Amino acid sequence: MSESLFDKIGGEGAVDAAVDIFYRKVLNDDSIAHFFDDTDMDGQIAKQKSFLTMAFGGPNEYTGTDMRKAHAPLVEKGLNESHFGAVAGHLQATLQELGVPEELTNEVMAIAGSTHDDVLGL
Amino acid sequence: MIFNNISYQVKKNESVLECLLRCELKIDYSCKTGNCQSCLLKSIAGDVDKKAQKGLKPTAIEQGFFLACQQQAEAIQKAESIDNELIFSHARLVNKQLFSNDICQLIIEPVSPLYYHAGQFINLKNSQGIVRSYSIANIPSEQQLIELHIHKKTNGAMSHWLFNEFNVGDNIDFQGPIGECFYTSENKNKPMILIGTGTGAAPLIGIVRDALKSGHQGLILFYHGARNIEGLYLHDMLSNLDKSHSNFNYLPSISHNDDLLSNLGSNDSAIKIVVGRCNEIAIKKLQPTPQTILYLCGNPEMVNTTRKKAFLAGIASKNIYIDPFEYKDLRKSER
Ligand code: HEM
Ligand code: FES
Repeated sequence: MSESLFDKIGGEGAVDAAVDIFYRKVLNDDSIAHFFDDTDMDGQIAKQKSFLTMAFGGPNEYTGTDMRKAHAPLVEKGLNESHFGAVAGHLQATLQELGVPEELTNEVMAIAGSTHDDVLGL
Repeated sequence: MIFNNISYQVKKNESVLECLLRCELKIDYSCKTGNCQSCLLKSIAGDVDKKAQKGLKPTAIEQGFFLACQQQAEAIQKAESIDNELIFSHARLVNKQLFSNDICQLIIEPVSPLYYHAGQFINLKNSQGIVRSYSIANIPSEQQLIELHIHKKTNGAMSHWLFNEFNVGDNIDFQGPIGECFYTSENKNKPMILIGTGTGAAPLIGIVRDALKSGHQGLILFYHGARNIEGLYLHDMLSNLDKSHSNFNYLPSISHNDDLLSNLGSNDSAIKIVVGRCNEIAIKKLQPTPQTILYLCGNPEMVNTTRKKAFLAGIASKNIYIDPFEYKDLRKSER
C-alpha cells in the first residue's frame, strides 16, 4: 500500500509544527485576523489543527456540508474570495517554511482548493 | 432534560448550568468558563460536548462527568449531581497570617495526603456553599500543608468569609488539585518567564520554588505587578531569592504611582520597582527563543492579551502556561 499524503508530510507531528506558524501568519494579517479574533486561544488552535489535518489529507470526518455550516456565519460577516486567497496563501507559505517538497505542497493546495465553494457558501 | 429525576424545560443555546440556575436549583459553580471544574455533573443519557470535558481526568470522562457551564442543555436527556464525597475532601486551617491589609496567607492541612504540583489550584467550598478556586503556592513536603494566598475583593463573598469568619482550627471542604500550570523538570535548562498580577503571584512563587528545588539551570524572570506597593506582597521574599540565586531575577512594578517611590528605603533592597503595567513591561523586554517557557497568571484580560502578544512575538503556543481564573462576577464594582 502506498503511503498517504498525510504520512508523507509527517502526520500529526507536521500538523503540530505547522499550527503555530500558520496561526501567527493569520493573526498578523489584518485582512482576515478579525475572523479569528476569539479570546479563547486554545479553541482557536484546536480549530487550526482541524484545518491543517484536513488540508494535509489526514483523518477527519468533515463533509462538504460541515464545511458549509462551519463557515456560514463567516460568509454572513462578509467572507469572500480575497479572504479565501489569503488563507490559502498563508497555508502555502507555512508549508514552504517547513520545507515541504513542492509536489506535496501542490497536493495540499488542491485539497484546500476543493473546499472553495463550500467554505464560501457558493 | 431530566436532572436528579425531575424534568426541566430547556431553552435553546443555554448551558446545563444556566438552565438549572434559571430554575433556581442550588448547584456549585464558580468561573462559568470551563476552567475551575466546580460545576461537575454526571450525564446518564445524552451527547456530551468535547469542550464540556476539557481538562477532566480520563476516569472522570469514563463515568460521564461533564462541566455544566460548558454543556448545551439541549444535548443532555438525563443527568445527575455527583456524590459530594467523590469530589470533596476536607482540610483544617492551621495558620492564617496577613501579608497586607487585603491579602492573607492561609495554611491548611488536608485530612489525607494530597498529591499535587505547586501552581495547581483547589476549589474551596465554604459552609454557605460558595465555591472559589485558589492556587497552591508551596511545594509538597512531609508536613502535608497547603499554602494559599487570598485577596480580599470588593463584594467578594468568599474572600470576605475567608478573612473574617474562617478561623484556625475550622474545617473546610475542597476539590482538587486541578490544572496544568506547573513546573516540569523537562524544562530545566530553558529560560523561564513568569508574569503575575496581584495574588496571581501565588501559583508563580510555587512554580519558582519547584524550579529552584529541582535545580533549574535556565534564567528565570519573575514579573510581579500590583496596583500599589502594598500589593507587592512578596517583595522581601522575592528580593531575597533574587540575591541568593544568580539565575533568578525579580522585576516588580506598580501600575499606580500613588506612593512616592523615593520613600522606600533605598538601603534595604537593591531591587528597583518600576511604574507601569507588568505585562507590558515584560512584553517590551521579551526576547523569545524557541525554548522560552512562559507562565501567566492574574486577571483574565491581562492573561489573554499577554498570551496572544507573547505568541505573536514568537513563543511557542505549547510553551505558554496560563492560570485562567475568571472572577467576572466580582468585577462589577470599581477596584
Ligand atoms: C482554505 C480552505 C478552508 C478549509 C479547508 C477550512 C477548514 C476549516 C475547518 C476544518 C474548521 C473547523 C470546523 C470545526 O471544527 O468547527 C474551520 C473553522 C474555521 N474557519 Fe476555515 N477553512 C478554510 C478556509 C477558511 C477561510 C478563508 C477563513 C476566513 C478567512 C476561515 C475561517 C475559519 C474560522 C474563523 C473557523 C472557526 C469557526 C468557529 O469558531 O467555529 N476558514 N475551517
Ligand atoms: S463553573 Fe464550570 S468549570 Fe468553572
